[in-house]
Amino acid sequence: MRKILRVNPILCDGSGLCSELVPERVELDSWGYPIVGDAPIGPGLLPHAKRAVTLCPKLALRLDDVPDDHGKGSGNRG
Amino acid sequence: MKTLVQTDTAGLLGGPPARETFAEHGARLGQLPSLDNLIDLLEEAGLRGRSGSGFPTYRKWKAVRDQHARGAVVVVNGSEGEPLSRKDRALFELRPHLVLDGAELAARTLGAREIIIAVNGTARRAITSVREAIVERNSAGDSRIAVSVLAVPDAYVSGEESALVQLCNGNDALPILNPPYPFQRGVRGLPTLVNNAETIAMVALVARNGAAWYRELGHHGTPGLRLVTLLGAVADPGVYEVPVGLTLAELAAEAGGLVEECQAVLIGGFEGAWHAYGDGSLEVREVAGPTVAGIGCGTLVYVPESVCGLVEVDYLAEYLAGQSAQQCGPCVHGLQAVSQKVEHIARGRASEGDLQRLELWESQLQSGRGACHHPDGAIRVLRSGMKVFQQEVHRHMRRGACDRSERDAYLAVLQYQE
Repeated sequence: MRKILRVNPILCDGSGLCSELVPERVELDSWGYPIVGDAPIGPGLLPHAKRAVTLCPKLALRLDDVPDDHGKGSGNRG
Repeated sequence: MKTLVQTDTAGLLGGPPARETFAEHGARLGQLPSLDNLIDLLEEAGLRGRSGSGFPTYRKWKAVRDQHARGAVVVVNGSEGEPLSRKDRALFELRPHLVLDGAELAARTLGAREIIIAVNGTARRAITSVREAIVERNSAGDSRIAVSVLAVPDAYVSGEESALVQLCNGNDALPILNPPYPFQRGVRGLPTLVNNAETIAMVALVARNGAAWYRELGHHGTPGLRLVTLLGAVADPGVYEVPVGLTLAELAAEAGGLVEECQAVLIGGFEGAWHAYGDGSLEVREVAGPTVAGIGCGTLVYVPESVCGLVEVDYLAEYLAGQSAQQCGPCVHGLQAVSQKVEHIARGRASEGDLQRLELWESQLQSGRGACHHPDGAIRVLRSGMKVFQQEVHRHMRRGACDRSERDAYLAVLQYQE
């Protein structure tokens, strides 16, 4: 199992906080909504990712445990 | 849109050229068999879902069964929000008992006590036919499972699985984020099987005739038959039942052949893909590959040479942007922005910078940015169109809009002609 960040795009209103806190995994699209990579969140990034999850004003960000073969070839979610 | 419906087939539409009653249906096909290995049989047959993704049916059934819940719900998806598709309506109107048979088999196999038949709310004849079919079965004393009909709003995303489950639960037909998937927690919180109406009807035939029968119906080594809606520059537009694996030319021949020179075909509906017609030798299979097209929802539009492809691409972009459920930022803002740029290109007012921006936006929106796959599908069909009509794009960039682009979109005319 590994940890990835996931955005609920229905809840997200594009505050952009997550991309400031975890720029390694979150970039913003042309309209300010987060594109979250499905690369795993390693131990070094974990505290930052957790902070982003807690501080998201819409509670739209989640840290999910996924099996190691998750999302292969299916691209980004977020 | 008036459509002809073929009925001289070995598959779902075989039988009389009219609605088949429960008595007629029973006389022609015999009783519904009781099978305890139906899931294995579906795997052996190679039956895949008909709604567009081509997902193996047995895996969906297994997923529900493996929840080991007390009870389950079977939802038959005949919402057919795909604007030009008419195959599910045709099936409901002519062969409602095949759909109900398949749903009953699914319910028995999965321990479901409830079946919901979801039909496009604008398809009055289809709804009436299914309602009558339920009455016919009830008066024959044949139903131990509660069956109801649900009218689905005629919108592009309302047939998306999670949206449909939301509607069954009394909410608006809008997609929600998964997981949980419907097979985990669906209607009233129960594991829910959502199968396309055509898929579930084919189950009723596979259960009667066996896996080998189904496999032999295919063509070029692909199993099975598919209901297709063939439209555009063909002699007899309508709903046909064809072996999977035919070429574009062979499919056109099913509908009486081409009546005009064809430049491109929109395969798999408004979120399918554009393909150049060429010599018509492109094969259409259940799942797209490097050299074959994917049949998606089974709608094919043969677009004649007299049409400007960019007007069609523009029409689709605008239509699909308008069909966003307006829930997810990237879909709401992204598809709108993309649509405006595509309009500039079609009208011959775009700059090189516009093209580059469009490509950037496409790459940002192409994969998994919404709760459902509406933006993914919209971007996919747009990209295929920009590729197939590439020369047209360059011509519009250099010389402005062409004469052909003055006309209404061909797709719009098909969509709104009655």
